[in-house]
Amino acid sequence: MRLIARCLLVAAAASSAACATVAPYEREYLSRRGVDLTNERGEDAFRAHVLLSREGATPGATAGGGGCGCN
Amino acid sequence: MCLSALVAAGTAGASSARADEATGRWTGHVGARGNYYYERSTRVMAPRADVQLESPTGTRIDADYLVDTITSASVATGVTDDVSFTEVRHEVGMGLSQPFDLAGDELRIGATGRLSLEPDYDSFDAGVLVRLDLANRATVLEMGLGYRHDAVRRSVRMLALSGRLQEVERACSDDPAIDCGLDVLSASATWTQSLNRTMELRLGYDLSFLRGFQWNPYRMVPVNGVPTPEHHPDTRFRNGFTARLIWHVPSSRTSLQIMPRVYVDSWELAAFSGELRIYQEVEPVLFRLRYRYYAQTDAYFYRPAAAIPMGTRYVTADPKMEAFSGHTIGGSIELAMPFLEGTFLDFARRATIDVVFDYTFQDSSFGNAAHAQIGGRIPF
Repeated sequence: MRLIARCLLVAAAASSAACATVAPYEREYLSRRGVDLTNERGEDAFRAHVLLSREGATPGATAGGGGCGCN
Repeated sequence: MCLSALVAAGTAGASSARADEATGRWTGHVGARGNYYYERSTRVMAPRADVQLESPTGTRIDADYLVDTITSASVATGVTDDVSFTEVRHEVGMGLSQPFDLAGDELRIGATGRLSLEPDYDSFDAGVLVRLDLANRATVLEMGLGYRHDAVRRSVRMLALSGRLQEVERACSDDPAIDCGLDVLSASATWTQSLNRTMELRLGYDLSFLRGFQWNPYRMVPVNGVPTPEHHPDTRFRNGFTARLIWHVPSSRTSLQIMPRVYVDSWELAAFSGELRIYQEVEPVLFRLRYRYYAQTDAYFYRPAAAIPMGTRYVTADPKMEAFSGHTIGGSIELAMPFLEGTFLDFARRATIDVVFDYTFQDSSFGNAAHAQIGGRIPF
């Protein structure tokens, strides 16, 4: 019950923040290398393929391919 | 603010408006990456190359190519434990998208396609992506729809008349009633919100419906001592809920990421994963540490081989269907190269090179695993 309450609190906080505007000149920190993750897409693509063939909970939108015959 | 932007989006004419229109310059990047995966019975080497081009009007073209070279001694790949073999997989991906200006906000519509070919498994998928940037990108909404078709075969080594081993293709099953195709419909939605100047939250949901061949055509399950082909249910409905919270600490140039994910499906397999990443900028180097925890329950039809009664409809020896948990720890180092500016390598002054290493401790039948990558990227 406490967990559900905490989840609702986080959701409420997120909702209240929704549509708050961060101006383009205020996005400096959100463009830092440790925040902007576009550089990691290649790395994540291979990692997702590994998880596809090793864990039962692969993200549904991940591209397919049997890989090592172990669908 | 969001409501007015959405109303404007619905009424504005769709016309392109890009900063690079004035210069007429194409931008993009080229990248290359080597991947290596190691576990007790499997090694994978997978070089990958990708390129992205963006026209002055914002049309974006993506392409990537990957080759998997898999060496395995696992029964899961169709051979006995004391024999290893190498299999090669080729994967090509393409993407095309176009932005539309909506009264100051941006709507991007795109399509993707991917083809994966290997001796015993072909896969093709196509998708549509829609992305809406609102309030100066403070709010980003994305939706995706996809369709995938896989074709499964068995590649069997047989002794030819010449006395040499020869690869022979066979249907996925000796049972002619079994369809060797798999169709997948998927949909995803994400909402990314800048909470303030240093925090960003992303929430996502993905679902997929699978119908067709979903087990390994080589894997046998000993049922009362009799090797029996594996057989999973034909349909599966999968749901994943994800979140990602990013927080940048300007004073120390440290970034933190927390990424939980909850998953449930119609095979009664439920999973939780949680990942923590810490990034530290020490220009021109970016260090990263990551820890990931993963745990899943077993599928409703999973039973230890000794507990499977004769005549059971669904049997599996797939380690992905059993309950297990794992811990992954890893690190990476990324080097930017602004020091090349003004030298004969000036074209690479915005390039980055990175090295990644992860190690997974897990109690699944696959055992522990190591994963390494080295990659580079040159924007232009």
